[in-house]
Amino acid sequence: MRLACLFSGGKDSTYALHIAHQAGHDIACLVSVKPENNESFMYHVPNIEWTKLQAQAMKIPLVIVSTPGRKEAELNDLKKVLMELKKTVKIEGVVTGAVYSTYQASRIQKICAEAGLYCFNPIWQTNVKSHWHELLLNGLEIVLVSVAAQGLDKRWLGKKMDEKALHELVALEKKHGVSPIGEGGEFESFVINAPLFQKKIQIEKFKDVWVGLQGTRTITKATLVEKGNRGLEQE
Amino acid sequence: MNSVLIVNTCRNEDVLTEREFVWPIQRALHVPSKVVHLSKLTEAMANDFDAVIFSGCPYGDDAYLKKTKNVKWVTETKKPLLGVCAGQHLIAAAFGGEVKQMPKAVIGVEKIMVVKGKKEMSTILDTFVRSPNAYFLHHNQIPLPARFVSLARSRFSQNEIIVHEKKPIVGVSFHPEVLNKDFFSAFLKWAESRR
Repeated sequence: MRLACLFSGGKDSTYALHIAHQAGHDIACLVSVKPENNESFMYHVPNIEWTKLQAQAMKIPLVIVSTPGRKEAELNDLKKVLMELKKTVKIEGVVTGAVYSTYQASRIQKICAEAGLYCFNPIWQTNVKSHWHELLLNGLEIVLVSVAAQGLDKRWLGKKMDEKALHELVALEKKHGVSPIGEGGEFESFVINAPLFQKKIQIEKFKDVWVGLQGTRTITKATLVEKGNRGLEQE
Repeated sequence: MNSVLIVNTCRNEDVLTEREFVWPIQRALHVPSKVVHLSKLTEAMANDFDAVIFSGCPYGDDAYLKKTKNVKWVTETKKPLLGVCAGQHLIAAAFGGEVKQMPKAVIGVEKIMVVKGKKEMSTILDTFVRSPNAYFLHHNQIPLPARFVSLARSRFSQNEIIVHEKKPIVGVSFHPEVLNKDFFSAFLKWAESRR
């Protein structure tokens, strides 16, 4: 089926895209929603502009939906774009990285229903305990670009996730109740490499800002590098 | 209950939809389960398991309505059966109920109101008394088939949970794998007690 993938650049939407591609579907384009308001109700915000570089790395067209970021208006703007894509590039459905939020999932389901498009959520109700392992085993390279929870201190901002980091995350869940998959907004992630990437992303410059417990890493310069050589320096 | 057959009612055998509509049921079950696509289902296959669960499918995917011949046997079986959303419609259709499109789609979280005074049903109804919110994703509905009773309603329908008068057969119009995961174990326990 010809599909568009709602894409934030984070771990879940990238993994959903990976699954749809592996299942043999034709990914016509990625769709990123860019709210002008930083307090978006629906969408993952930090570093949303860098989805361009990710799309370039995957050689998949990207459509950016700019929206004033007011609750229901965001959804209407997205719906218009999806309807347009149904007409122009003949998409039949939309893939999302929705995991547990019925608030998010039902709103996307509704606009897809209104647009006459299928809505697919391949990591819906996933197993919290195995989710991260699944991401890593499938070759996603993920860094945290924002943190906002007790225990997620300066060491975590910009951290590249690996098995050791997962153990620490599970310990934080026990100690502070941090959702290990970040469902409560505990952190946001950014994917620098995945099987669909033909080149990987190297983050060259960034700016960290802390407000209380909340830290955000804004990428200011990133480039595409060949997989498996120069990229290793980062680790 | 040691093994459950889950019937995937989505249009195609596709991991994209199986992950969304079948895997969450498998995770909620706590007993081994096997998946078969509706297009390949036979009664003989069902007989190898202790219970059969019919999954839901994506919004707008009505392909299951063209495969009702594969579930004709459900009216004669003694197996415990549970239908989730499209699965409920399939069971109801086999028992003679006509699946109809609703005036308006129901998508999102809604409250389930269980009927009182059905003590023998408390095993499965208690889950919804404790937490009445359920996740809905449908635009089809069914009238109550003959020999079924309704155990719960919502502001949209009178038949949110239907159960056969005599047999261990239940259909729910919503998706318990999202907000009511305990329901699956409760169903198996209830079915066991009815043997």
